Amino acid sequence: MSSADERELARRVSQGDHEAFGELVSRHQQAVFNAAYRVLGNVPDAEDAAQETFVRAYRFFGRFDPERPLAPWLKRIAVNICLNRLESEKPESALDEEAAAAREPGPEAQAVIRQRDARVRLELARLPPRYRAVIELRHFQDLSYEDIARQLGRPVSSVKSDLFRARKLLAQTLKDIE
Amino acid sequence: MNHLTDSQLNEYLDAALEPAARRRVELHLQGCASCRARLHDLQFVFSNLATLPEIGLARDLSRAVLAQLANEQVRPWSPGFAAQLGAALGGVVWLAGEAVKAMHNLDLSFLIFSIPQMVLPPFKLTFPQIHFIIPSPQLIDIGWANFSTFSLALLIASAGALWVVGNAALLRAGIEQKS
Repeated sequence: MSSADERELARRVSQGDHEAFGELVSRHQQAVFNAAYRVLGNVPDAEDAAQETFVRAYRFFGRFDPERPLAPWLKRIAVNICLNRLESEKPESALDEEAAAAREPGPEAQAVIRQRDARVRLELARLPPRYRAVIELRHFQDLSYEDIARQLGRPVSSVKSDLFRARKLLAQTLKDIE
Repeated sequence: MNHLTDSQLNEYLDAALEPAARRRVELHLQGCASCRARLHDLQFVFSNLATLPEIGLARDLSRAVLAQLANEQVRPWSPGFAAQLGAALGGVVWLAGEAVKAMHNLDLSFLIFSIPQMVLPPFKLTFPQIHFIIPSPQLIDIGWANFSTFSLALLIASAGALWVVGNAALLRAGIEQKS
């Protein structure tokens, strides 16, 4: 259930209140951007995808049930937009960015953690797009196998196969940072 | 010894196993170091993903989003589109003018009683009905066909109306497809 003030904002958005929608964007842009970033692995593309997410959400706001939380709906839109982009774009620039971050030297604990996080993001970005999508939906949006299958329009068996395979790949590539 | 499958290990960590299956997995793990090692590798992936922090968004998207929405609402019409719409509307106005000119001789009772004959099989249209519908006997000879001014106005106005409706439908479909 969404918070009372978010429901009020959603009600105002339904009546065409742009200012209210701007407030919702400000509240959720960080989460939506990160969902897009985890799938695309590229900051500029993730920013564009996040912006497109909100524009699309506004266009189809009539389909949103204001009694439900907004964040999951927005993040699902973001994943769909990202998957559409990945069908036609090459993600090499994402790998360059994360690879550079992963090579950062630093003996301090925080630097080590940042390096580890960058490495995890790098290996995530190296996964095939369909693997990244199921990882995002399961680990970061906490959807069940069935909900993931429904969103992606694929059989549950296919979703489970991709998810388990993606985890296996990450286990192999992250083994050295353990 | 049969080891646990990848599916069993993954579904165990996803809490997606039935209670009985879950107990069997736990029992097997107690006695199998190899499966415990595989489980540990998977748990390492789970924990790294669970603790992966968000990265900061460098710019505020709200202004760009609102600007894009405002721009879409006030999209200017192209000159070509405006010209075509003007021509279509002009055809409709022309038809209205022709209809007004013909209205002063209109026999409503004739029209009403003639409608069933016109619209039901065998769709017979007699000369008086044709003359009624097309009261202006000014013929336009274009070689292979003759049109009265009224029927030509009707044809152009109908095409214009269809054009307007069709473009509206295509525009709407384009927006929805793009979304």
